[in-house]
Amino acid sequence: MKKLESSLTNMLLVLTLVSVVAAFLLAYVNNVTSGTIAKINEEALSSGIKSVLNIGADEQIETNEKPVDAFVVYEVSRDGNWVGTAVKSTDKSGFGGDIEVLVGFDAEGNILGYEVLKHAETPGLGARMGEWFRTATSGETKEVSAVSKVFFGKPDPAGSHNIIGRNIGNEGELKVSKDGGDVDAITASTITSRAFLNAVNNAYKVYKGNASDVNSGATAQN
Amino acid sequence: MNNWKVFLNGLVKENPTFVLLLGMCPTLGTTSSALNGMSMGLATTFVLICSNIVIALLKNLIPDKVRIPAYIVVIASFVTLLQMLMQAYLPSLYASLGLFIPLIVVNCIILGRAEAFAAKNTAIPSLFDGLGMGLGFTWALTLLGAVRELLGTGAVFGFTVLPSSTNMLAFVLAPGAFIVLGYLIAIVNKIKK
Amino acid sequence: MSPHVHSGDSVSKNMRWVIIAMLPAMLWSFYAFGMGAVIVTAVSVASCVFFEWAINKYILKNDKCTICDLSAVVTGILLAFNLPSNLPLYIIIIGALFAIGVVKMTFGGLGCNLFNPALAARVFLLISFPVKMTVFPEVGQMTAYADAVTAATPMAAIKAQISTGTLADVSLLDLFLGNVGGSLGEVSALCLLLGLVILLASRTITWHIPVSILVTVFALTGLLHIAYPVEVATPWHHLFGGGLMLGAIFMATDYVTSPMTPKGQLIYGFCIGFLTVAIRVFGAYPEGMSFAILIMNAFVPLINNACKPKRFAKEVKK
Repeated sequence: MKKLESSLTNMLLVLTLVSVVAAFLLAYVNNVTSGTIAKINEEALSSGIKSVLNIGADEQIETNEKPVDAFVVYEVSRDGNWVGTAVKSTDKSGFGGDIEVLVGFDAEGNILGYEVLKHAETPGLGARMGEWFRTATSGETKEVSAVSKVFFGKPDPAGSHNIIGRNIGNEGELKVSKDGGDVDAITASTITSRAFLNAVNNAYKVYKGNASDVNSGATAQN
Repeated sequence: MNNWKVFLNGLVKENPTFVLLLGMCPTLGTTSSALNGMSMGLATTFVLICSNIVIALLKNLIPDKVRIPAYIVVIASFVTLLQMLMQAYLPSLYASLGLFIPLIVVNCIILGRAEAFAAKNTAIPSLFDGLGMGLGFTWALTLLGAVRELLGTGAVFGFTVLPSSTNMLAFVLAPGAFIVLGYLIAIVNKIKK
Repeated sequence: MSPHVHSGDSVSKNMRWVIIAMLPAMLWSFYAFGMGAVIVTAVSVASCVFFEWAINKYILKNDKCTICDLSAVVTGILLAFNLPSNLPLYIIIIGALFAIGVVKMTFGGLGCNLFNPALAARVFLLISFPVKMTVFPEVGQMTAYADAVTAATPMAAIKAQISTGTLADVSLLDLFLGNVGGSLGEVSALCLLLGLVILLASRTITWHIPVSILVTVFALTGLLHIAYPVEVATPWHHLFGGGLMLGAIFMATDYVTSPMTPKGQLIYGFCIGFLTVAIRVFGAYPEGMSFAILIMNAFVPLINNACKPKRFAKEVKK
């Protein structure tokens, strides 16, 4: 077959044809996958909500979603009883951009759990926030031999950075120790830690603004 | 040139990463771990094979003056397709690579092979060229990712090998990518001589 | 080597003067940090010399004695000067390998390296081991090494002024003498200035680079201090604190990685001073000297090109 000439008609025809075929193909695949993608995103959110509220993965829950400004509040109930509220909160001052966290609160406003949904922090440093703020190391120091200490150094000092169970309403806002608070920042990642704690503090404020509604809604259902 | 030679050419002799030095952006950006590097390589291989075959088939239909926009449309369609499929069926992989998938469109390996090979050959050799180049890219990225992961986090493919006190964070970050890539290219050149 | 091929002085003679000039600061570090400083210096120098010898002999297969020019010893001491005195041995050895193996020998050895080896190694370690590289022991723990008690450095306290809005209580006299925490070689401005006098008197370096850096930093922080008296510390604190003196006197003046003409050296010095102030005042790190010098190292070929000495002969037409 001879190569098509570069005449205006040919060029227009071929480009249009290629684009139309591509568009149809993509539309078809989009049609096939969009349902699955939506379901996966929904499942990811629901498993995140269950995890921050300490609910077993296979338990049935009902979620009532309610956007408040830039936040999203999820009021969660099981068999018609309110069990907790998860708040999705975003902070823009992370080291690598936005940090999106989901924080779960119980009726007293204690933090039940958290989950980092989206972030672009440095791996090995700021990215450790997913585990850092729920692990308690205060009081436990590993003993290492003298040789290992000289060659590899002392293990990281024990500190308190577990925010699970904390109550921002009673204890005041969470702050890193550098800013006069009592939460140890992730080593060498103070900026990330500040942004993360800020997101958690804001989540609490949003939760508090809705707390009365949440409780009354639950009682009404009883 | 037979198909086997075409395949080996991309895998070793004209390896896109270590010899042609094409596609440096995904090479440096996605290789923070061996698994990420391998996944990126395989994703690129998929797009490369598809686009090579389609372009080899369409080459006589596409007038010369509009070949670049036509190729880009073909490549971009396959990348978008891959993105949707990955999001639907491999969500965890998509979470770690999602940012880099759209970048495959501008990966110069793909347009480069379309221009240099697929536009001059028939579909079957183009398939082998895509496979060879793609797998050549994959093993290079996997190796780069494995070295960076080992030095930076003490693990390979997620299995911890070294104690955490020996982790050198710099290798997970951008400078480590440049340093490791430089040394790997030097070693490959030394071996090839 | 590169700038000295045609001049009368030999590399090893210059290196000997540099080592002599570093002695006051080294002795002060032994006095202030005790055993830790001795261990860090010894390990750093020994591993730098070892890597230089081993790479030269077994990888480059070169018979020339490159450790005889003492440049590896200088790199070792400078690297130690940039480390905290409680740093684990493993990290020091990695630093020496990076300085000699990656930054120096990969580019072809002394005279061919683009960046200052000791400084590049320090920055590599800082990024790789951010925790261990940013805690510094307090002065006066003579026998403690790994168990030394650490404290915030004056530079960290000065940096905190920006966020807390209260003046840090840092004694200027302690800063000048070196009674403060910090890396081995940077703490005593007095000893470093003594080193500068030795370097100038022995004609090992000229005044252009150190003076232009120090003047730039002093002037810029002075202006900023007048504008923001609480957030920015006094120019004296910036002059005597942190790695400024060490960088200006021993790091930025490295022959291989600094411009050759006086005019180029003044431009280079001004830019380093400017970048240092920018990082110290506006950046995330309390210290900016090492980054500033490395960035300007990359510009040296460009500066050399722009500041070529004028030739007086007429151009010959071909």
